Amino acid sequence: MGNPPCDSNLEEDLIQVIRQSLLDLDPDFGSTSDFFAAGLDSMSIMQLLLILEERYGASLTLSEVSRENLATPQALANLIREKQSLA
Amino acid sequence: MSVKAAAKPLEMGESDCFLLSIDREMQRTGQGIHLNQTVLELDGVPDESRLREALRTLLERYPVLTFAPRRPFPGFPPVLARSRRPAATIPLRIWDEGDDPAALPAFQEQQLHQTEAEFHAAGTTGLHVCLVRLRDGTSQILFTWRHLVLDGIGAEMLLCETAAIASDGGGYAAFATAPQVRAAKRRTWWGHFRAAQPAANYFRDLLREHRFRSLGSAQPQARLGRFVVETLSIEDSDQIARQAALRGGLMTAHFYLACATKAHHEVWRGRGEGPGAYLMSLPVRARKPGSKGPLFQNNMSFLFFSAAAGEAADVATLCIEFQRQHARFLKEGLAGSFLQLQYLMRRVPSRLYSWHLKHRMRGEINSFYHSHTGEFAPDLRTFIDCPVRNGFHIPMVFNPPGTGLFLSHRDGRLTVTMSWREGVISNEEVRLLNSAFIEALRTG
Repeated sequence: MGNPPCDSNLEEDLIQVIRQSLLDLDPDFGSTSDFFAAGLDSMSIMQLLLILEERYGASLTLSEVSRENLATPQALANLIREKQSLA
Repeated sequence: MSVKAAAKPLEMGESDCFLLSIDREMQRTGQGIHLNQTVLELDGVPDESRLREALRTLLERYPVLTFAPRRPFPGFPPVLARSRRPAATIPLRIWDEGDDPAALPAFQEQQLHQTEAEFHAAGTTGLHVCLVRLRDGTSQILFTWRHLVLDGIGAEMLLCETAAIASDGGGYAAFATAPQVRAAKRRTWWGHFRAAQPAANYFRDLLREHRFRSLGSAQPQARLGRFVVETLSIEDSDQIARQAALRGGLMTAHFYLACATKAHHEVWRGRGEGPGAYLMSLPVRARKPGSKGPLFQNNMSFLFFSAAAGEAADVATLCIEFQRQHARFLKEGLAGSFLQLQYLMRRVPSRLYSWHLKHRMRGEINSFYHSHTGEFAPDLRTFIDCPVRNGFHIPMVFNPPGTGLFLSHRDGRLTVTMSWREGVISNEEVRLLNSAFIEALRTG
């Protein structure tokens, strides 16, 4: 998957990584587009959590695994930044 | 895809080869061939001649429907290749409901319990279709399909394709075939062998630690496949969705599996005994959500979960445990490693494949079958001008394990399909398993 991105490219990197390994994202999928509408489901969420942990060092608690936090690249990136700042 | 291109032999994927071994084992033990049924409930009755014409086009467009498994040479992986006696058309049967309300389930069960010779009596085909005309003016389309050629999601796509052909002739599938889950390539056989070791060790440790049994393990094998289907109300389905979210958060698959485990545990308790532990294989769809293909072959991988008998009565405990196991499976690369195991087994003759499987697993495959296939064909709103009321799958299980609990939903309503082999569980246990499952879903 290559190196983790610098902070400013986080949303774009998330889209690329998820497109490669998880979902069939449209070419115009943007930072506010909805992963759930693109097919993120119960089984693929666990894979997403693993990507967040291994690539970005962001380990989510069960209470953080919410639709609000995972819905868009922007929300996910914010969560990762928050986690990284606490680390 | 051109007809000419589609007529070439197709490499069978890792899941295809696994199912081929199961299919052969079923035939050897008198359980018929591995057939499933997908049911579409319609308002009104579709025009028979348009349906017949659509099926004719379907077969013309997808010759893979007349393919059969074959090994080019001993020791080579099997392929799906054009049968020596391909069907000229997809068989379409018209069945009118009479006065006996039990006649339809009996007819469906008979469809699902056929030998290879019976299924291919009119030539090799992976699909039989039946139009059921019910007394109240509604109808059903029954797609009875061979698991070697299709999987459940593929069957839904094929229904969509049939509807599209009948309405505007347009193709639904972006591409027809090619398994989406394959073992990662290694340069040598030894490389594949080493990559398979984590999965082999996982099963070795699991079997050393636990003794699991299925309800059907001690029962005669050659018995008829049975099923019951129940579509729940929107209110009940909502309540279940809330419970699933409460217990599993967004990862609801663990909740449904936990409920199926608890329901089986209730049956064991009723017998006054326990299996020691439970082992479940959960199919994971490999097509990316939203994709319109491939239609054919088996496009899934498997995750494995286990539960000690002591924790099987509590859904909340099971959910936490299954989440932990799921994370471990992914982190340790066990899913990929299991694919490597399946890759190595592709060259093994099917009879030896199933023998090896049962030998390694001490006579069992798993404790029971379970899957939730998600929303049933959400894009399919009408079928030959008839509004679609509902749709669901009837997966036919083999013995052992002999039982399965399956789910799908459509338009906010959950459909529960329970399949079993006659003789594996008593009539009383059938009722107990079904009611315990629905109760667990409702109350968590």
